[in-house]
Amino acid sequence: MSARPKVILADDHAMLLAAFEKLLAPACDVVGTFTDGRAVVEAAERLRPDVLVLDISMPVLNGMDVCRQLRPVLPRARWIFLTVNEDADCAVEAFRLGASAYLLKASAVSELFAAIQMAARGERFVTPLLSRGASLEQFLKTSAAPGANELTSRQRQVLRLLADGRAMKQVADELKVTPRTVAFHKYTLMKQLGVKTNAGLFRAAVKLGLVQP
Amino acid sequence: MPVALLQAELEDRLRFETLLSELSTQFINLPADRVDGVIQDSLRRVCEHLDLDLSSLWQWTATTPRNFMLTHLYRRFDGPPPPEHPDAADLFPWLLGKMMEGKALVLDTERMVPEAARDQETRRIYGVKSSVIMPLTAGGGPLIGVLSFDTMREERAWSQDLLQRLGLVAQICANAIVRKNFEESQRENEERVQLAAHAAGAGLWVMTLANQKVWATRRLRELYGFPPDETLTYQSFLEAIHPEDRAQVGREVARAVQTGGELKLEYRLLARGRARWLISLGHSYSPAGGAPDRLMGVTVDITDRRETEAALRDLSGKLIQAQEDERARIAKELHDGVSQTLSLLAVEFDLLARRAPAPERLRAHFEDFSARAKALLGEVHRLSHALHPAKLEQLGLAAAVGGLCRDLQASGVTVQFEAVDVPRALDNEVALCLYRVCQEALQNVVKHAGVNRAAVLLSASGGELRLSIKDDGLGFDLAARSGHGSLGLVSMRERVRMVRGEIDWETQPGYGTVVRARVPPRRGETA
Repeated sequence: MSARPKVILADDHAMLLAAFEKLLAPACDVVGTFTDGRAVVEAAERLRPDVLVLDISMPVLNGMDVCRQLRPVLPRARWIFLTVNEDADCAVEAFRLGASAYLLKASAVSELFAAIQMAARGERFVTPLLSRGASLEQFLKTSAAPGANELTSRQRQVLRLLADGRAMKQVADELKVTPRTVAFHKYTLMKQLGVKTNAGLFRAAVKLGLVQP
Repeated sequence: MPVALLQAELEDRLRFETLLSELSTQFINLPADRVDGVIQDSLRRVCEHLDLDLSSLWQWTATTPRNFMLTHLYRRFDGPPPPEHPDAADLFPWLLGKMMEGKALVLDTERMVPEAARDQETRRIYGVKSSVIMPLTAGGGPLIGVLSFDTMREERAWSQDLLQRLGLVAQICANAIVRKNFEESQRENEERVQLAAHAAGAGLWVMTLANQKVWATRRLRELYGFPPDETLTYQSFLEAIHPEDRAQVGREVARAVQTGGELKLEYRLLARGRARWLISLGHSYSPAGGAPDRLMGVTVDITDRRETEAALRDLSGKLIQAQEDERARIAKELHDGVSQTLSLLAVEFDLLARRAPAPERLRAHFEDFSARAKALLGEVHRLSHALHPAKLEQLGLAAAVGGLCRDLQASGVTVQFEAVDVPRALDNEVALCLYRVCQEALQNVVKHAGVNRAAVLLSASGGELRLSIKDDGLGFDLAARSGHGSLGLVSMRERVRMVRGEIDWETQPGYGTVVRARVPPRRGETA
């Protein structure tokens, strides 16, 4: 990222959009401003932005769906959500999608530029209005609790068998799939549950009530 | 005793026994309205056979309790007419007292006691000389009347043998009267039931199980549209029932017959135009100690009630829908209008505070205004969310319900939440329905269950979405609560019904509560 990052701004509220553009002008190149998500998707590849600052609720295509669609196309871009939505679950989902920052529009003046700089360094940031002073990791952990159980039934099957002490080969035989598939499930499970070892998997399985401790 | 005399006496006895058996035979299966006539005839025959002059039968009546009324009188000779309202308490006060003791009496004019002066006066008026007076009871039951046999021409000695025979006559009469009274009260009851049934627009029916023939009142025939004189069978009724309800009716009837239980059915009739709804209540009837041989019951037209209920349900469904639409509209306005404007305000205050070459005091004011705008934004967000959970659409049902469960922590209840295979994209109405049901059920846990733990499971399987909310709390009496529409049960049921799902409660006082809802993932598909 160059010293003056190339930024795309998208918000369906024209006055806010104008205010943000003015705010960023001294330090960034605002390469495009848009008032709906579809327009962002159509222009982004051509504009090759370093940072996309997106509102979430926009007509035609919302900000999160823009991120879902464009991430494979712009693998190096940083994503910042700038919204009025104070819902913690929404913020958690944004980070799950790979966002670098989740900000509220009202604090844009003090936080937006700093968030862009942090994103450029590969750091993540959530507005203190939501985290209430907790670190991002702490915020994600306390907010994400209900979603952590969101495993598919196949994932749960695999987790139960692994936690029961079976080897990947045995699990594969039992479920009539290839060991490669089981390895894939194990990998995604570890990622999703935030654990790095077999012991961690076992503890997660106990917590989910899949096996007896 | 000389042989001839003995033989005469035996013949006499045989003739009387024959008479007695004839008399009692006459009463068998005798319709109630003919019993009085046969009693009258029997008194005459007994008198003629035994050469007696007078017989009278007195009965309790329902209208003059504790009085006997003269109901039967046989006289060989004419005499003064009996009073228009003969009353034993007036004519025979002493005798009445004796009868209450339940013993037969033999009276002679010569031997009447002074206390019986009034009785003797009556006897004299009617020319009675010698009498046998017997209380009438059936099977040792209460006194129902008195029967007397008398002579008018001469005093007579009543042999023990004769008294015994007359006792048998009294017994036969008593039995006949009791049976007649019973049948009459039975018929009266039946008439009352019919009258009540008719007034309620109800039809009555009795099905004999052996041949499946059905007896039905006129009203029932009207309900089904059967001609008044057509012979009816179970099959006639089944064929008149709507094909979609027929199987269920058949099952329930069979069950009621087999288990001897109550029958309760609501079903439609096969009809052109306006569908008619009927309700039938009944039970099988067994003769003493036997297997059921009859099924009987009552049927009422409930079409109006059904239609009113359906209209009310549609209305309450529409009300819920209208309320949700309005809440969503206000929430969106708060989010898209008020929140954005307030955000802009905060941004502008921040910019002012940053840029204006203003005194420190003014800068502090701008920062304060900005902080207030941000605080207000928080309030607006909470209000908007309380009105309508926007994250249902943004994050899906599982995340929204998960958030609901987490937010409950603030009320002191830890909810274990699990979501299995719940699709992200769901019909908005379906998602909102399950969200609201969960919200309502969890509120009930907080308010009424008296526990600090609950579990919510949301899953998709077998082409339907399932939601269950479980607690190990106090539970409640479902039947008692349902009637009062408390606990939001009615609104939960209504919401689920609107998306063609099903909901039920498993609870009883002291045993916790499980609420289970099943809905098709898209509105319009059946669960």
